Amino acid sequence: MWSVTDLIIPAFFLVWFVASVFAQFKNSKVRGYDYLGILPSFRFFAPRPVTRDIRVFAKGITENKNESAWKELFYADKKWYCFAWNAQHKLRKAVIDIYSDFDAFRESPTIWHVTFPYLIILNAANAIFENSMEFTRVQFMITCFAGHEESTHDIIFLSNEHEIGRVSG
Amino acid sequence: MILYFYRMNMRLEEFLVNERLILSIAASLTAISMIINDLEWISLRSHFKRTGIFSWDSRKARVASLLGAKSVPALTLLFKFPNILFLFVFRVLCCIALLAFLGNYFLMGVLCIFISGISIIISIRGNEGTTGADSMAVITIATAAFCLTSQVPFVWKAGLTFIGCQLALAYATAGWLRIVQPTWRSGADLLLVLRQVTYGNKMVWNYLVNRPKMAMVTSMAILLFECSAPFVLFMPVYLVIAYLCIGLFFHISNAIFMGLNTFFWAFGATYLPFLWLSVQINLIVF
Repeated sequence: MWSVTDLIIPAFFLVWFVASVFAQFKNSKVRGYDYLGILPSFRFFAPRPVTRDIRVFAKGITENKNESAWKELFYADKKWYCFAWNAQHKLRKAVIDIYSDFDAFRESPTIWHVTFPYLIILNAANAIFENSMEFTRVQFMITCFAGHEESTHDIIFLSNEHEIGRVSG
Repeated sequence: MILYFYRMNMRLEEFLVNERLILSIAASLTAISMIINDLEWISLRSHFKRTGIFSWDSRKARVASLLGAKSVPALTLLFKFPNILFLFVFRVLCCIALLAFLGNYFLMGVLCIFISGISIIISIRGNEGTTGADSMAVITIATAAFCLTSQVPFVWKAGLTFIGCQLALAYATAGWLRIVQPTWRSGADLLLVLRQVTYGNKMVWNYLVNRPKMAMVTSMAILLFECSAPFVLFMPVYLVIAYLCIGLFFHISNAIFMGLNTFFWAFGATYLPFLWLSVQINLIVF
């Protein structure tokens, strides 16, 4: 004897699959209802791949406008055993994800400093210099480069200068 | 090789009528993917601190805007450092228990419920750094949670059909969206991917960049493999097995050359449901 749940579960799978199909379209409205984060994105490198690697740097600025050297945030290298263990990939992927989220705001200087991706990077940049009392302000930049082809970095975004926040106690 | 698969097909017929066993194997392979994944997250624990790229401090405002400010205190308790690490540890323990209880379908189903729940909770925190392998892993484990706790064969079959269709969707989406791009068909975009430190491989890029025809053939082979996934479901079983062997080779190559290590386990876990589905389609259609 079948119960109602025996039919609900297959019906749920059907709805989930149909929603998954619609979720593959760019700017799909279905994603707006994906509160559980269960709709996959299978667009791997489609339609065009990310063409360049991204690195983020930050520098500290003193009261007298002296500047520190640029320091890399979220440094991640690739080991030979990455086929089995590749924790650093998560860092690199996170940087790409954050940059992708931020890209939409790059042409909006009036609001970019209050966007979440901007604040995530600023938070990390702030942390590098918060213990160095000589620095009062911090700035970060996002660069891209052609991976294994050449190491010349192009600056694709330079942040505003921000006062360094320090946690008391 | 085809004859070998043809003979194997004879024994497979007996194996493929045990839907719960197939679901439990899929869940177990997914558990391996999740164990690797979670241990990697735990190894990045310093980045979950207040000052890190995965810090809760810089995410709670976003979560508040999505779920409302009232949810933040409770979620802070779950997601702040080091509590978030306990979620990863708990998921690892559930996955290990899942592997240990292979064969006890109901208990595996209950563990899958826990794993699915933790996965959904963690995804609320933010998905930066996650990949398609994570999505596929959640799909498989959540499906197993529903099916393994059920006693009804129709539910098991629906679950296997769902997972098989998701694999076909995954490959077809990636394949068809790219094959219409001339830069993918020419191999130029494949070279762009291989050039990157994040996804590429210097040795393979150096080799292919001077051999554009080979780059084109490689790129087209990958695209045709992915595009054909939905059609393969309608092919004879021994051809489906050959197709899935190519798929395993594809994911092993991706792991070695691109560092996509968890894709092998997460996508490999869906291969048996895909094979099961193709057998059912063959039975019904032919």
